[in-house]
Amino acid sequence: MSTVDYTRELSVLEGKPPLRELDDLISKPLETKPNRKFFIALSITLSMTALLVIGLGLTFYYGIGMWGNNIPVGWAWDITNFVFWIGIGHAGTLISAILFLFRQKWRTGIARFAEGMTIFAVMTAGLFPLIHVGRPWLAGYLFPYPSQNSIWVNFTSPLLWDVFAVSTYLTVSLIFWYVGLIPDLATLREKTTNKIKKIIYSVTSLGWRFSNRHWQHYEMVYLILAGFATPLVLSVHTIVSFDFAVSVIPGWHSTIFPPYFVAGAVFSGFAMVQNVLIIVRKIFNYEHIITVDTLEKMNKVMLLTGSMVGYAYAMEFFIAWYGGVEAERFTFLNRALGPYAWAYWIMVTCNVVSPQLFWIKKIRRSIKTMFVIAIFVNIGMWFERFVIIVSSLSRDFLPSSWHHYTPTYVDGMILIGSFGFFFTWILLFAKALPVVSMAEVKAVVEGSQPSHKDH
Amino acid sequence: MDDYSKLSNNKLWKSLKEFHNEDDVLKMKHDEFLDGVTDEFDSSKLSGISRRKFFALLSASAALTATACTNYRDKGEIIPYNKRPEEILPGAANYYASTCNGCSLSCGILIKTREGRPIKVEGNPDHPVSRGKICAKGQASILDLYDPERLKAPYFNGKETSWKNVDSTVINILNETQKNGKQIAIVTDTIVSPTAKKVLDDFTAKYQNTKIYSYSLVNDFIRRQAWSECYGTDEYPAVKFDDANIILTLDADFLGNEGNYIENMRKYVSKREVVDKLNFNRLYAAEGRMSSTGMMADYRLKVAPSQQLNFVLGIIYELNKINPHLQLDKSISARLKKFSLLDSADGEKFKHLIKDLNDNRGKSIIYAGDSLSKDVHLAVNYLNEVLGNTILYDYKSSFKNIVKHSTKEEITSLINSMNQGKVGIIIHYESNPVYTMPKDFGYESALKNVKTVISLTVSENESSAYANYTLPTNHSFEAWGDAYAREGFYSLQQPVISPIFNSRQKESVLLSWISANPNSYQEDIYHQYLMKSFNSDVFVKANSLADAKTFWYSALHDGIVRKNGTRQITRFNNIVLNNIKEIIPGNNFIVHLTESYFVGDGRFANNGWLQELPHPVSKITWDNYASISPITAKQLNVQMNDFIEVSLDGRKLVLPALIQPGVHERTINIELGYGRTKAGEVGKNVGFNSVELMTKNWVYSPFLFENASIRKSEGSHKLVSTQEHHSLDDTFVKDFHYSRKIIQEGTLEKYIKEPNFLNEEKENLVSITNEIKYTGHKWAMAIDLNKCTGCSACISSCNVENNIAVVGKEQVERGREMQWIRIDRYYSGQPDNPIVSNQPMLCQHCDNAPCENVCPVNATNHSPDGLNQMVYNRCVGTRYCSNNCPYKVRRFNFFNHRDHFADAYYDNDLTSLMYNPEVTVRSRGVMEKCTFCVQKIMEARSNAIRDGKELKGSDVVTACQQACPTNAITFGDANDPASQIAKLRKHNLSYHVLEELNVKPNVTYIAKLRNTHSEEK
Amino acid sequence: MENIDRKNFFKTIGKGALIVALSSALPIKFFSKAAHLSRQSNPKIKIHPSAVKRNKA
Repeated sequence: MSTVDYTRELSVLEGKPPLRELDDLISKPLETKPNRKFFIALSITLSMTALLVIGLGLTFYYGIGMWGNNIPVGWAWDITNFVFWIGIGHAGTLISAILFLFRQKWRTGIARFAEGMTIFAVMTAGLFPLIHVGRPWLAGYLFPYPSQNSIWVNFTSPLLWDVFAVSTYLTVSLIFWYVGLIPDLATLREKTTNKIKKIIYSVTSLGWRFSNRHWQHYEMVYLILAGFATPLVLSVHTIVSFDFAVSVIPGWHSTIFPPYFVAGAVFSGFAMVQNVLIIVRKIFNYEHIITVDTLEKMNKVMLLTGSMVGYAYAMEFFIAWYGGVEAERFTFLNRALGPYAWAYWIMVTCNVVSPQLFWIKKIRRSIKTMFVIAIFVNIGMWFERFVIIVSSLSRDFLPSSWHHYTPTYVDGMILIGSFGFFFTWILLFAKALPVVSMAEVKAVVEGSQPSHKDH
Repeated sequence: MDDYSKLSNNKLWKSLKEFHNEDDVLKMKHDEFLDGVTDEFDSSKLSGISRRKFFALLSASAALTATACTNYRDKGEIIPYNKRPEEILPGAANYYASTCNGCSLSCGILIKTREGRPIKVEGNPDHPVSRGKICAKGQASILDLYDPERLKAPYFNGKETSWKNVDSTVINILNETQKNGKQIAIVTDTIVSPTAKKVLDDFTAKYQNTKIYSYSLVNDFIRRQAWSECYGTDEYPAVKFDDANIILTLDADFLGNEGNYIENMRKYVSKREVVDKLNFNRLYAAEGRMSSTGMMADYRLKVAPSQQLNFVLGIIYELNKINPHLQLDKSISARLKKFSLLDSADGEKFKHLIKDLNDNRGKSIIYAGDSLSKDVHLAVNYLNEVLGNTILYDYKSSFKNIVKHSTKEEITSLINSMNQGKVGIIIHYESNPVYTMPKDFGYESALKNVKTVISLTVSENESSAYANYTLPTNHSFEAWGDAYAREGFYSLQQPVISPIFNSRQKESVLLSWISANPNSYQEDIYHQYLMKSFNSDVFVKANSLADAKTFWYSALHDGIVRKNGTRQITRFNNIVLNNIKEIIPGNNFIVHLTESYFVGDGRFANNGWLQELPHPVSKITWDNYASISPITAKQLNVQMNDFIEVSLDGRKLVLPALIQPGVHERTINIELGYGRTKAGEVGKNVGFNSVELMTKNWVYSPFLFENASIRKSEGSHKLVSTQEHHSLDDTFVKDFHYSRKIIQEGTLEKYIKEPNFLNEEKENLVSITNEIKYTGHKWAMAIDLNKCTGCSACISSCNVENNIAVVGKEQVERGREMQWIRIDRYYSGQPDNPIVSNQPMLCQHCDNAPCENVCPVNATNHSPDGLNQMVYNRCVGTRYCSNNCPYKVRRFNFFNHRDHFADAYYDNDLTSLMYNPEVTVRSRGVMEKCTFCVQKIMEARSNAIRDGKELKGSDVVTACQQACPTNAITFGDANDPASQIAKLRKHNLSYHVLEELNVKPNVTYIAKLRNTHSEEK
Repeated sequence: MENIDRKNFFKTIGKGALIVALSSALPIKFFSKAAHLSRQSNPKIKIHPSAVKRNKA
């Protein structure tokens, strides 16, 4: 029998911590010098980032030939990584924008961090379109500038839509995130005694006075920005999916891609956010702010989107068979039985089987198990993009042009390095800005809002 | 005085205050020009720069800076001619007729030059045999002129020296050798030049101890020997394949690499017509290996080379049975017995063969391969006699034999003389006997006993490594020459470029040694000699109205001079039938060595383009291998790429195995021309040297060895192919080319019964976008698959025309070859005797191109005349276009293929001269693909404008179309209703590949019809 | 005092711009390229004087 009382709204935070305590707890990492563990973690991520730099350097100097890409497999790990990282970004926006519009208060503990992760994920993802081109020094051609030759970009190309979508996403997310930071920066401004920090916080908090007027404007802007950011959750990954869906290649040419990719993005994003949050709450002692209830709700989202993804896998297979197009039927059989079958089955096990474990409440609420499941989900989602891209390209219409793809060490360096890049930003973020939104969390502490009932 | 006049005297005021002279105004006025304000002013102390000057300086420096920002990457200067040479019009190409020296067939060529540099080789349309076509090797031979490792100066024992030194020393050596009574040996390759022979004769006359030895790795001397025994002449006739209804080839790759295959292809396809009229021959190929001819055959029978004699006798036996009226010689009829070695699948085909041969007496031909034994040739000659097929022999165009190939005895005696120290000097006359002679001759070690070894060669080779004097000779484009390869005409070779380096023509070298005067050398010494010889031998007999000089010039202009030559047709000498020796084939393997399709006998090893041309059958590049049948592979537990050891009487070779569907179970086919050790950076150590399996004591033929054994060896060697290898039994990927309608084929019978059979299942495709109307020209191409043999001349020609980069074996392995056109080869049917389909694949220039939509920067778009254009300078290299191309014809520059690899082998000043100036050389990171030779379209267009004419589609000839020996490729304006291309597009055998995608490709394929009987496919 | 400083400042900048402009316009590259070219051995391309050009279409 469930002991949950659904007549009352569950409190988001455990206990009823005093508001001042919340402020101190959340701003503590910012006020203390980084400790040894932080430096060890930072040195690991920085060395991974160094791999990225070296890999990119070799690529720029010698050419895309340093990777494993070939004809027919023109895209491989480069675009896999791109879609992977953009996908991860979607969790943050969903949490901070969509859940805000749905008035899900449980988002408050995690929204700031998730949105930060979105920004860093989009930054990481944004590297790939720039570096995967054969002549990156001409990447400016991708942007619509007025040229003397009257040549504009090709607006019918999904890659171009990507340019707009990703830059819009980055911009809006940044602004949204920043606006949300303003009250917290003001709080920090009030708290800090360090002269330099005071100046920085004063400038960045834009003169926030905690006045009623300010709060009214803030709430309105935040609402509008949430409204802006919400459709982006759906549109950005839809556009990314168009990179494939718009093409003629069997395995890519499929109308299910937009919802499939968006669901997949939310799925992988939540998995990554969940993983990082579990670490963060432990290190910073935010267990009562980022509660198991919150994590459980995230797992439910993962279960939902994971099931959607599983449905999409099944539906793709079904439609390939039902449609009768021989090339498409073969593409799917080839995924399951051909030279990349090992990747396919990793994908299916990790993405379809593992989230289904979340039906079980005990697993949903067990920190260790959910952590492992989320790691599998991340691995599975990376492999999903790999399978879609590489297996479809390596064996397409004409058997005479089939060719296998194998990655090179530079590919590996860039993949590992992208993780290093991402985590470096997160580590720096954790020490420079409050990872939990102080203002929002204080607003959902039990008894913080005026009500007609008790007391 | 009125008020106005008063004004001039009046005080002027600006305000009321002033008018009233108020105090503050007065003070202001007083202060306006205070004293002392200008006290400090000292004009001499002012800086010289006035405001004006300052602005002038500012703008001047800005302007100067702007002009200095001119070339941000200095690519060098282009300077126009100060004094333009008369022959050169910058931007216009010159053509010169000459003769190709790539092999002994001596096809006529036109060398295209731009600004004095040869940049392309095409066929000479006036040549009666090759008729404007040359093979892939000929097309790529231009790279050898610009080979960075060409010898640039004479060398003596490894040190550079001068020709003067060489000449005087060698003349002394020759004189001394003559005095000492020692032999002067000249080792040559096949000589087709009568004037070169004259030089050799003159040399022998001057130095009487000279002996000439002609030795060539790949030769036809068995055929000549057989012909000589049968007909009393060793100059065998050409075969009128175009008059044959039935062609039976016995291990004879007459469409791929034997005889004059260019001529053969043309003749063969004249009876594979589906377009203008329906005219079909039937080709039976009986072979052990899988060759190009085997791929084209209507019926392919698996007969091992050692079984061919019994096969022929078996044919005669069966023919005798169904047609007792055939007059057979008694010595033969005693030996006939049924040929039992065909398996059941081939039994049906054999029956058809017998019936066809009998029904087409006098209109068929049996043709045996150069590598088969003399006995087979004797039997085949007899069979053709019996069937009355001798009317297909064309003696008017017989194959001349200017210098006979040396016999084994002659070579052995040379080696013995060498070992006994009786040879004073050996001259390698552009030959490479250390590589080409079988090891048991012992030539290599015998060389050490010769005091002076001279190698006249264009590049270093295995023989020149032993030479004291390595003397650079002119490349054929720098050299004079002539050729009398075929009866009926005489062809000339002229240099189009002065020797780039300090090399000399080999004939000139000999001439200066004949003159015994080291100072006698002039650059045109052989030119004069040739003209004299031409005058006395050709001009005098030509009965021309012109004078000698004019005749000479017109001969050079045309490239050929026709001769009247007739041959006495002799009678078959039946006595030879007694000499036919039967060989009982053993149970072991038979090794069949064949010439490489693209590297020849090894002479093209350093030619990167040719090494990278995929083998017509296996699509392997940069290697040779042992072709074995799938059954043999299974028996030995050998997989693709595994090393196997082939051993024969103490000779061994370890090389990788290639499982080749269709190879006879007992046959191992290995190509010659590989495993060279001294061939330049590109060619050395490529492949495995199968000369090691040859012997001077051959029983059957120099290229066939019975009783071989093979066993699996250790390790493997990755064979790199441009197509993936799939076992024919792999049902997972079987026959996609049929099910996806990539290859659509039929039989002749079906086509005659239902001409529209191909279109029955065609769908009506609906477009959701507006169709673009092409009102002007609309360029389109058609490829007749009945005529494509996979010879790859088109690929070679495209490589040269469009400056295609060589990427090397490793990059081909990664799938990054850069050829814009490829020939796809598909197998279907049974692995032990598959049906093979070839399909040239290039950019289809789709009207609804999927690549154009997806390029984010608009680097690829469609021209108003129907071309899919590629804008290299806009391309940033996202590769989306290639991903979206269903034909995968787009090629990406993953590296800067010129200077990426450390040695930057092709990025040197010499090879850079070879580029076609009309085609951009693409940089790193840029996508490229076939452009339908847009540079040729533009050239034709500007010529039409200059001439004031309309541009006709037939004015444009793409490189691939021009090169195709069978004219399988047609190109032109689809909007011109009278054009051939418009006709082909509407032909009922026409189809598009992947038509259902509605990309509207503009390359039409004409379906292949196989002339088989209705029971089979 | 102030004005002279400003004047000096702009003078210096103007001189510097001038030097930069002139030096970047100097044909150093031409000289170095010429030196480089004379150092490397370019193959000489010369049409063979006796070659007979083809005039047919």
